[in-house]
Amino acid sequence: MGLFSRSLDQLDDERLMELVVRGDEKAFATLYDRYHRRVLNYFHRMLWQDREQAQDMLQELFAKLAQRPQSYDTARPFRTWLFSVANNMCKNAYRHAEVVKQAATHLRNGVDRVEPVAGLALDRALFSDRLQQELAELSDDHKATFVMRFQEDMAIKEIAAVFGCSEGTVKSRIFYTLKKLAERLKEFDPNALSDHGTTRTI
Amino acid sequence: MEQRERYDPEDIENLLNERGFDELLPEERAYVLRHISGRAEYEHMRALLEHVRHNEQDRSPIEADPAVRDRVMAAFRQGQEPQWRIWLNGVMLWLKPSETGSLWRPALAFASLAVLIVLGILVVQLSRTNTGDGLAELKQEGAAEKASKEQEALPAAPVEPGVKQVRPELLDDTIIPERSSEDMDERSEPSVAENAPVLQFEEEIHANEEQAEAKDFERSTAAESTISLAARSEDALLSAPTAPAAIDSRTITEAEMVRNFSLSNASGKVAAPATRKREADLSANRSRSVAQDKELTALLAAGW
Repeated sequence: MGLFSRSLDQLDDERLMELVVRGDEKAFATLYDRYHRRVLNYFHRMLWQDREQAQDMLQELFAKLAQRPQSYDTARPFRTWLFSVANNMCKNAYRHAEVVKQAATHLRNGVDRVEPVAGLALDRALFSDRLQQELAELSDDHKATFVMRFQEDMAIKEIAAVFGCSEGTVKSRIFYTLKKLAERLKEFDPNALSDHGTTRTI
Repeated sequence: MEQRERYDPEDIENLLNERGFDELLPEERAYVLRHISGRAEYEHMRALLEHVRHNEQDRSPIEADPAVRDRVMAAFRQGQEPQWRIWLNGVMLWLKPSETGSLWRPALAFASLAVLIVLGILVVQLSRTNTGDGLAELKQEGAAEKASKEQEALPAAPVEPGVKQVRPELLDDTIIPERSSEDMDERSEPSVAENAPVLQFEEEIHANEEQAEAKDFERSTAAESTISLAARSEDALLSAPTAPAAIDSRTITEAEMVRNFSLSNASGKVAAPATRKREADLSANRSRSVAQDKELTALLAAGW
């Protein structure tokens, strides 16, 4: 039994999906264990840091996969396919919640609201809060690209596969997102703060 | 040969992660300045990336509820159930529903519909059967009546001397051709069925009238018609391509011919004009020709 489960762990995602299509429950469990945390955190970041909604979306995504494993596009890497499905679900959620401005309000009253802390922790908490607000102001694709690149550590090539676009498009999105966020969050730049005569330690 | 480096925004991201603005090589700085306004913006972006990195390091990932895994695995098992079992469950649920309280209305509606359909089919079948029997009886009655009347109207007419035997179907077209009984039945089926008593009475009246007319006509044209019939029957026999050797033939008299007219047209509307035409033909034969009338010839010559 232990040997069998170890061998499943060693299989790559695409091979596991082949087994899932044939009805292998253990292969499906292996895939869930491999990706549920990342997908859950992706939903958590993308959906206004709402933990409950992120759990619901995670369940919906894997339930879809469980009921219709044939919907997996075998021509694509499983990881990028999974994130593209997750990204589409986020877009639907945005439409449902009538987009980003409501999301900002939701964030201010959200369950994961930043608790007041002192010193360095306060600065980081404030930055995280502002960053989420500013990300909510971006378009869906720019936000998702930023989250995948800097919070999920996905490669440019993978992100391009998720969105089905060229790598140049992804690079361009990342650059302009960074530029826009840097302009809006420049108060957290220690050099900028020192220009105003205030010293902050990050 | 100097190799020129190519940069793109991703390379700016790498530069931001690795070096400050002052640490950039001249060509790197030139490239950065093509995309960024200046040193300040570059440093803001660099600070942002550093914050994001620290933010992610400090951030503890959230964990999924174990119940989510259980529900997802249950969904997988449900999806793997054989389709025939799902179908069978549906059938069993349909045959033996768990909640019967809400089913009596549709059940009643379906039962009523089924009863109506069965009743409709029965009514249609019964009506078809009745209509078919009645028609058959009427046809038989009509055919029997015709046969008996023909036999009554055809007394054992003795074959007159000098009258040749001809086949009835070979009579010329001035005589209304005797239609076959099947043809007659086909064409007059509905009228016979509806007006059989009336037609019978009219036929009797017309038969009496025609018999009277036939007697007068027989006296005046006996000799002429005998001759013409003989000649025509001879022509017909000669022109017949293949006359069967053994055929039922009988002698037709003038009275029979008149009778045939009446049989072919029960109301007498066709037989009477045919009789009048025949009389007119005879009178024309008896009258003078135009050329023999001197007065008329004189008038025509004068241009009248």
